[in-house]
Amino acid sequence: MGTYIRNKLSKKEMETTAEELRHGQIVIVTARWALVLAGLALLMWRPVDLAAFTIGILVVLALAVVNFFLHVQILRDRPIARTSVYGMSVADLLVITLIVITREGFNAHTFVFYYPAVLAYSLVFPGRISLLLTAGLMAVYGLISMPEVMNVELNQQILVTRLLMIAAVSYLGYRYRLVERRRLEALSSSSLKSPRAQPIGCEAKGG
Amino acid sequence: MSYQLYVPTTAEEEIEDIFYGQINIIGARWFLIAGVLLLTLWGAHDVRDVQIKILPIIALIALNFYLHGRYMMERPAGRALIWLSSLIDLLVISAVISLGLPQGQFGLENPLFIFYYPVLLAFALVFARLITAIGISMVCFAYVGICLFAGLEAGGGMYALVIRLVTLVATGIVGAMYWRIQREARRKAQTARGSLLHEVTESGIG
Repeated sequence: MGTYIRNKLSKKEMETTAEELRHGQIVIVTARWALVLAGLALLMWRPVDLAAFTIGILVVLALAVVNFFLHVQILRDRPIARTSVYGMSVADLLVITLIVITREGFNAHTFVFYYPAVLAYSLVFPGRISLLLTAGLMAVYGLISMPEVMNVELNQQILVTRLLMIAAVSYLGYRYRLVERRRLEALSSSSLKSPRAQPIGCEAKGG
Repeated sequence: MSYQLYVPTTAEEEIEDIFYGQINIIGARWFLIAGVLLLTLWGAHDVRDVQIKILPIIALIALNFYLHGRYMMERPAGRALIWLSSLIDLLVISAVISLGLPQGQFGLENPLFIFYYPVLLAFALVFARLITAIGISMVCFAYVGICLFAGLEAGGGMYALVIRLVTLVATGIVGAMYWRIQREARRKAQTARGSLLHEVTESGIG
């Protein structure tokens, strides 16, 4: 994955991405803590069977341990390898998918965990990586849902709506990141020509 | 020549956030419109039925064209109008769930609660944390109210309701958290720029 990223992103993009990753990692880590807590609570609340419960607990605890180490690295201001951050986000999606599969697939209520997970990486990762992850997730979720969706028109409508909202959350995260990057760049590169530097957005008018 | 650094107040920062960020709310609304329109046309069996259902969608499209147009003309809407438009989004989604669209499923059974996610997210990315907290609470109260009114027996019961509320709140919190990080980054850049201005003034380069 690291080679793919290096090939696809320009040097400037890589520098900007590294800076954004450094700032945004805490968002992903926090979202993952929410996933871990909610996952544990749900496993305790409605266990399916012993095997699924055991696997579920082990997976969620493994996620918690790795997240703990990532959180400590951030708090100590130590750099985290880009590939580790990407890999962990893929792991988040895999864990949610595993929970969805073990809980009735398309009919599982747990698919909503995708939304905060998708949002967390979309706010931080480069657009192309986000697009790749979101497209992959939509394809996998579509495949998981196929048995229940094939011959039921209502389920087809519901599936399309769910996928559309996953795309919406991912797009909004990416769009916001882009807007904020431009704001920051404008702030950093504004010239010193004027005796009074102008505020960004001072032209905003009430509606 | 002496340089004077412009440091925006918190109120001015909020205006800037709305100025730049409202495209997210507009984008979220386009996704909402696309979803509702798709379901309305896909599940249609009778022209008269579609004619009635499509009217509020057309109103929503008109509202979003107006806001998007203003944004593109660099005269974006102010806080009050953005607030109002977000409230309309919330009412539209709540009405869709309450009326049992697309095929007569009410409350918890209705699958279209997922429209709340992008709308809530866009709101959290634009407004300050206190207003975001109010927005999250309004969405949660509205949804809980609708589900309790329709009954919790069908659609997964309390278990499904809790999962949905937890993920809705998490989406709002993650959005607000990123909003705060971005504001801090801008303030740091502003401070760095202030130091540079000071150095320029002191050395007499300017």
